Amino acid sequence: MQYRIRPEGATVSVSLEGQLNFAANEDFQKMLTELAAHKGKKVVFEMAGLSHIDSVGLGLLYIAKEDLGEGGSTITLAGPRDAVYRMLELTEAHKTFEVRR
Amino acid sequence: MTTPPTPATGHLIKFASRTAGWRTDQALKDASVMPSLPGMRVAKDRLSVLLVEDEPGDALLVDYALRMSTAPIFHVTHVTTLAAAIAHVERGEPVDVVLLDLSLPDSSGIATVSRMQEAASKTPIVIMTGMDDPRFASSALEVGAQDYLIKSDDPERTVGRAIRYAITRMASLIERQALLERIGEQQRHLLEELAAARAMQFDLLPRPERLDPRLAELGLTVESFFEPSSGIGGDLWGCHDCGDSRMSFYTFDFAGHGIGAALNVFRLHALISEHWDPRRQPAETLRMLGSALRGLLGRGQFATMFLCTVDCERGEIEWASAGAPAPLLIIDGRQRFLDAHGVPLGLSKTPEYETHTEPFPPGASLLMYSDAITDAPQADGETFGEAGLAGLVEALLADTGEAGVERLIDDLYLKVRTPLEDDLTAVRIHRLAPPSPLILAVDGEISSHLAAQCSARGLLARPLAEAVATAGTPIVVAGPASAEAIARGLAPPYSGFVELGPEGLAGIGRRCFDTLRAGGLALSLLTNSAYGINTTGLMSAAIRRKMGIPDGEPAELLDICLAESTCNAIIHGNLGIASHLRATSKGFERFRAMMRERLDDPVAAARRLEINAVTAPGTGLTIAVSDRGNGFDIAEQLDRRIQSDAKSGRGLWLIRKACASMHGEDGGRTLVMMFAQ
Repeated sequence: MQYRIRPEGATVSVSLEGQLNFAANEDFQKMLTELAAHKGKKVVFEMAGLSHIDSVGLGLLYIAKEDLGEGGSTITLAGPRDAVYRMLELTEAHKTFEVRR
Repeated sequence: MTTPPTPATGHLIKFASRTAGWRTDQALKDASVMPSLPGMRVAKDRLSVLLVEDEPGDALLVDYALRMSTAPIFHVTHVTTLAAAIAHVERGEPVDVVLLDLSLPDSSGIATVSRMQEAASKTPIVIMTGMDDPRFASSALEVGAQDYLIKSDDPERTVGRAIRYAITRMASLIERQALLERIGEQQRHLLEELAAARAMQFDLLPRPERLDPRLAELGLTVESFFEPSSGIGGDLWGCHDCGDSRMSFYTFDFAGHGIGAALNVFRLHALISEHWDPRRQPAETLRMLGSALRGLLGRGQFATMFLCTVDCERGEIEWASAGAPAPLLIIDGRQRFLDAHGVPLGLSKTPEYETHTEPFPPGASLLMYSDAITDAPQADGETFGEAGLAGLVEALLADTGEAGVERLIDDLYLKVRTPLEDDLTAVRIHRLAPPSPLILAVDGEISSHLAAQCSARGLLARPLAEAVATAGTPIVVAGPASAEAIARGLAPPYSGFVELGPEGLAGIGRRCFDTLRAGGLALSLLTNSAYGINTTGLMSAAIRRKMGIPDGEPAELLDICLAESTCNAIIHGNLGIASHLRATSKGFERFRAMMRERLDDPVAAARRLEINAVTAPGTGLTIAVSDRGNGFDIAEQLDRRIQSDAKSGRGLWLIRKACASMHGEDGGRTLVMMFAQ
């Protein structure tokens, strides 16, 4: 998985690319550390570049929500592809996250 | 005992045994086993009598009568209540006999006898009763009194006799009980010895864990039944590997059964093991065994034996028989008895046998058995015979297509009188039909080790460049794993990819090759490759292409199932890491560190992850994902509740939602997922 962070005023846009799964590397942790600097902002994960997510990757999103929530941030999952959206839907992730197609 | 003179020439001296084997009669006669019974001998010249009587007149009469006796001399203690009598006994006062009145101030009737007996169980009791009622007296005897006196009788004449009689009866009762206990103990001992001998005999039988790899290579199935009639017996069957494509099997049966025959079984088994030479023809081996046994067995002892060697490459069976029951050869559903005449082992010093050869093609079976089957009596008294066996096998072939030993024994037991009176052995050797051809296209050099692995699995090894698709023969690519290599193997004209590890094909599950032979797609990777390469993406694309699954919901659900099951198999299965670690970002770091560590562990690295996908008419697509970890209880895992924001533990639950049905196999190491057609 690769990521790119772009602050846009009260919002921080994070575009994700590749796969978010059990083989995730340390990039995710690095990303969370960088995002911690943007306390209280609305974090939007742009997911259009994400080809695949599994339940381990989903677990990472829950960890992100918890960690960023402590700094007063909220999370939105934006533009997931069909396959990724199917996963969010099956796991009822939309009850926890704001999901924007 | 005198010392024998020192012999002038060398010879063997055998001293006689000092015991006569099992100590049965002798032991029972031995006085030392009898409990010592102080005061129980009638011949004692002084006897202590406890007189329990509340009527002074009656007591006086009895006391007087006893004082008149001089041989023996009676020493009388008189009490008037049962409580006093019991207290007397419990103080340990010597009492040789109790004279007991049945109507006492503190007890009356038959209960008086029972209570007295409880207090002094080994002391004879004589009832004194005024009631002249034989039924009453006999019920007193039933509850344990040794004799009774009618008070109106002349005590002088009767009391001494009654006392002596009661003491004698009591003594013989105690003696009888001691003997019964002794016999019971000896019998238990004998049965324990027999059970140990039986276990030793069963230990002689071939063991599946040692035989199975070789039988798998040869494509042979062996079914056996072994049941000695009296704990241990005179039958045995066994086998010896002759190397290459050959394996020998034998059955033998000593005349008689029980311990003697069983000891001979150990003799012959040892002879066979010691003198086994795989180059020798069956007839030669029988000749050698016959000569050797002749010198060992006692008069009238002999064994029948059947010995055969199956050669799977030549498709033949070689055999010779020493008068064994004629085995049944079954080819193409037709059965025929082999000519098994021959001199039993042990009867002739120079027996002659003949080695016969018969075709033994794939699908053929040979049924060897002991004469317990053919000699078994039917309800009408006639023996079951070869005709009975042939009929049984005929019916089995018609019903099931094969002569399975378990069914054969079940059906036999319905037709003959049981329990059988002889040792029963039945062994069936069955050549499996050869597996359909499968080509292993090797990306790299075909070492002799790999060639041997291929031949053991019925694979045709070919260099990758030369492996051309021939009609109906699937090809699986084998070599070092990379995304490109896997993608190539999963695309036509190939049907799958297996990674060659340091041990070649070692660890590849049977399901992998079965799937390929059935026209499915198969992938077998070592843990590190499965982790590092986008395994599920490649497999999913291949399955969708092969099955013609378009983009959309079914494809997405398939992806989810593949990804979740693969992730579980790698992390929880092959790497053995629990999922609950991943609850926080720190936990996730620990989890990743642990994964890296386990991936470096050679044990975990040697484990395989396998994905097998196949469609079958009626069931649709079935995908099986296997690991080689410790397995787990899928049902129990599914029962756990998952919180909506949990960071882990969702995989299995997701799969259940995404596929039509799923179940575990192989102790939870394989997850089988079915998809709607």
